[in-house]
Amino acid sequence: MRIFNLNEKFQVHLQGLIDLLSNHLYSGPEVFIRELLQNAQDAITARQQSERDVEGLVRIEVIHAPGQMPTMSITDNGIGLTESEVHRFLATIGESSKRLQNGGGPTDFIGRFGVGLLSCFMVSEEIIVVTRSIQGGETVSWRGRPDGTYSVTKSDLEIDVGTRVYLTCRSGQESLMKRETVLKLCRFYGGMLPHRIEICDGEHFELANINSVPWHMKTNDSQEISQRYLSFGEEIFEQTHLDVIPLTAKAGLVRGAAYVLSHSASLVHRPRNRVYIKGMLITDKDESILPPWALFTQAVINAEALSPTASRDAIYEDESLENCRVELGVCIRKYLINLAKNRPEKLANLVRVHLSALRALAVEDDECFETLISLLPFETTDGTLTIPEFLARHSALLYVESVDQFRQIAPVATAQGIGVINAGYVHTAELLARYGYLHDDADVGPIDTERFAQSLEDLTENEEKQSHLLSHIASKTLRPYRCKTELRNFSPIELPALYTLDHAGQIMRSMEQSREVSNSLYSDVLGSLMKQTSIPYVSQLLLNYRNPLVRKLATLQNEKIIATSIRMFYVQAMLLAHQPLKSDEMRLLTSGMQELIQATVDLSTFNP
Amino acid sequence: MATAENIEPDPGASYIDEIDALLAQAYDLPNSAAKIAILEQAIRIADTYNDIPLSYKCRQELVSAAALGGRPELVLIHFSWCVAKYDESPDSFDRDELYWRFKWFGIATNSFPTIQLPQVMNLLDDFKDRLQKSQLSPHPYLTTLARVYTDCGLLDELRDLLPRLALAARSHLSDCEACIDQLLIKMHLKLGQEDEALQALKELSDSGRVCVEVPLCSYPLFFNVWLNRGQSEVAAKHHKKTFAAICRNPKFLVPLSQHLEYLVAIEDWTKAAKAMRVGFDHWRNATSLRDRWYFLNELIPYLDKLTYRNTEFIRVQLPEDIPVPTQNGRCGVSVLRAWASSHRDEIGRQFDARNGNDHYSRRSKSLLPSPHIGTTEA
Repeated sequence: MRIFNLNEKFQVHLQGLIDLLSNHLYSGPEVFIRELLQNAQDAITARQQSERDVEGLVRIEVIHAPGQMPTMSITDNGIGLTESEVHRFLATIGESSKRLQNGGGPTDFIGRFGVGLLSCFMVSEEIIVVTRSIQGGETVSWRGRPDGTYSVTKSDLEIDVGTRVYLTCRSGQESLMKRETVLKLCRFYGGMLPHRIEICDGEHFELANINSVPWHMKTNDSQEISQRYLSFGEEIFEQTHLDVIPLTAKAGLVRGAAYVLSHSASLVHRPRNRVYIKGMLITDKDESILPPWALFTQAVINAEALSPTASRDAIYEDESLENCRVELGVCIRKYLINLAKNRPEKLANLVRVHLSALRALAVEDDECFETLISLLPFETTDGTLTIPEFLARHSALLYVESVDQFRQIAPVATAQGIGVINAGYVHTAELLARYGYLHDDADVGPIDTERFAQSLEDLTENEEKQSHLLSHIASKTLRPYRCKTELRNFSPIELPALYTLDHAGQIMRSMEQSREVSNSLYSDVLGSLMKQTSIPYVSQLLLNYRNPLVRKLATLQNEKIIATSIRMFYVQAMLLAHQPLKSDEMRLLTSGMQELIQATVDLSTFNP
Repeated sequence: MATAENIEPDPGASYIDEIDALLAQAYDLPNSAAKIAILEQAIRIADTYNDIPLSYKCRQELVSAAALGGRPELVLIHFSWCVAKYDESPDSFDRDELYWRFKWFGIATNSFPTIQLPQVMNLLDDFKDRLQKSQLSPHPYLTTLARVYTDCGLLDELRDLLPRLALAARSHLSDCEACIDQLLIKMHLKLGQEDEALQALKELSDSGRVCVEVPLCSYPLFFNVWLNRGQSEVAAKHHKKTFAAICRNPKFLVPLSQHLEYLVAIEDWTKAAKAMRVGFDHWRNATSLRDRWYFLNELIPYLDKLTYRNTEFIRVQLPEDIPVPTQNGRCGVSVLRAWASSHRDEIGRQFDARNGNDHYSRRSKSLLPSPHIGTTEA
């Protein structure tokens, strides 16, 4: 019987692993700079734990010798590695010097996962690490190759305590080892690192660190700080902003700033935030650090105590992040509330630019609702007004919930002096409903067709008597189309009839339309659905008794002419209301036109 | 950038320009009542000009917005029209775009008890036949069928379906892997297989698979399970992680209800009140009667608890179609409870009659009387 060895070890195909990392974990080969900076930063942090007065330095040198592939070295004055540590940490995938022995997470180190150095194989034929440990001993050299082989030797190089990594550029990656590119990438990924990062090219060197991060400024001059914040935002995001909101959060130990966008924000395509962890860029595409309603800002923040994901290109979603998000939301809300108190004109400008986002915020947060509701403009029959301005003109806050409905009734409402708000925009109806809920004394509500009809002037007793036959025939004629008719007096007098449709009615019409074209399987399902929402009337036709033609019609006794005319008013009113005609309504239009033409022809035959 | 503000059409523009402008605005909006209204407007214009291709395109957008925004009746109405037009002229429209939405259509049929179960099954058979004729995997049909069986409590049928589902190959028309994982979790829970469900949740979590609904709507399924197993800290962690996002979309009325259930169980009255208010805020735009049943079913125990705490009135903004009187923004707890109970039972009865079982009435909740605790107003 074959005996199986229970103590086998996994074989690692290094090239395959590199391929996996480069194609599936890392976003691109340029991240090797980030990984090297991270390792250097962590080494310096480790050294400073025992030698606090050591000033960290990272020096990157790029050499372009003629006829040869470029080479790069990155040197740090961190803790270095002993020979046994080189064997242990550089040659074992997943073994990281930055994890505590008991498996707990470190708090000072950025890197945790022990695969960062491998990223260099995306750009380099081999990796050479020369290192001298703070613990003493000789300089050790480790040379690793992508085929999985490596060698460790004692090095003759005299180096200070620290580590130097040498890379030789792979064919096709030359652009990544140009001095300008290296400088740009260092600034991008590590610009906020606390240690000096120098890019050397022969005799010249340039600093990659970002100068004076505003939340580190030690001055009491508020104007200077504000200027620095704004210019910092312009450097980072390459655009100007309306304003800046300094951010702090205990959760995650976050400092930063949220910049108010100078253009209107989309409700769907959120602005991207730039997030650093311990000074190292994690992502410039973050959408999670700020609350969802903070669409009108984009932030740059540095967190000392949030965690990155394994690929280190996003923030790990945990309780710290959530708590941090809440605290940052408080900062932004406080900013708005302060603006309302102290700089109302600035807030008004912000409302103008970021109306959709601020509506979203007001719906989400009660305190902001109270702050913003009186400032938010609404489209009304009297033009664009705030709620206080509207209520100064009208006793009730009536609104319709679709733009189409607003278009239908606005001209008639205006002519009657009835104020109506267009609540067809995102969050508008919710805001108005909330206003009504919080202000018991206010008359607030959606205007349905019934209510709108009631708001128009009734006929006098005499007019009712005169129009009795017309009213009766109109009801009878349009009942098969489930359209209720009413006679009212309203302006403009040129309009003979107004067609109105409630939300439920609109759905019924759409259902009928779909049923007309569907086969029996789907038509039956829609028929069953109709049973769920049965309403007696789908729509309403308001006949305008002030219109001369309607008045004339009321004097006729010929029921056929009256019925034909009512059908034509119905179709005309529907078309004016942008309602597509169903097949039976198309037939109505055709037959009605023919009947009227026939009647005219007959009349002219009689009276040539 | 197009916003929902710029919708007055240029008088010189053609109807096509007008529709394009509306579609551009809709694209920039989250799935919401406003987005749906804009798309309905675009459809009406296209219909007025009898522009079938444009009307079809707008309807497809509306079906997506409605399916993801909690409006199954609009899915049924407009998808039916699209199927009819596709069948008239299959070469004029994209088959896969239509068939992708068939899954949503199938689920939407289960939202209204007046749509009979044989009708639902016939529609799903139509989907199956279409896939077969196109030589496509039946996987999307089977997952939709699984959802219907799960919702209807048809456990025998669900058990029989599991092996068929496991064997069927995924296709490009199948839901994303995260959604399939969540479906399997729901199936396990429905079949009373808690351990298997927890294992599936762990695998989902370890896989890192996410989508709009997953794992946002996965964790609330387990609040009760964790509480019953003495893992209250796990429940608390996932409640905290998901509650805010759940509150933002009316489509998530069922997960919101699960949060309400959890909050009542841990006696967090402040947050429970918030969950109730959000539920009513969503009510207008969450038209599925199935979803409303779930919400009412968790509302009733909450209101019972308030009664036992001697709370007579609550501040709540009720939708217009709820016939419970409010005064000064408050309504009576017992009045609301009476309406909620009656409405829930009526919906439950209709669904049970349709499904031929007692799946809904068996799960209907109310609390037994418990001792007086104190007087508060929520």
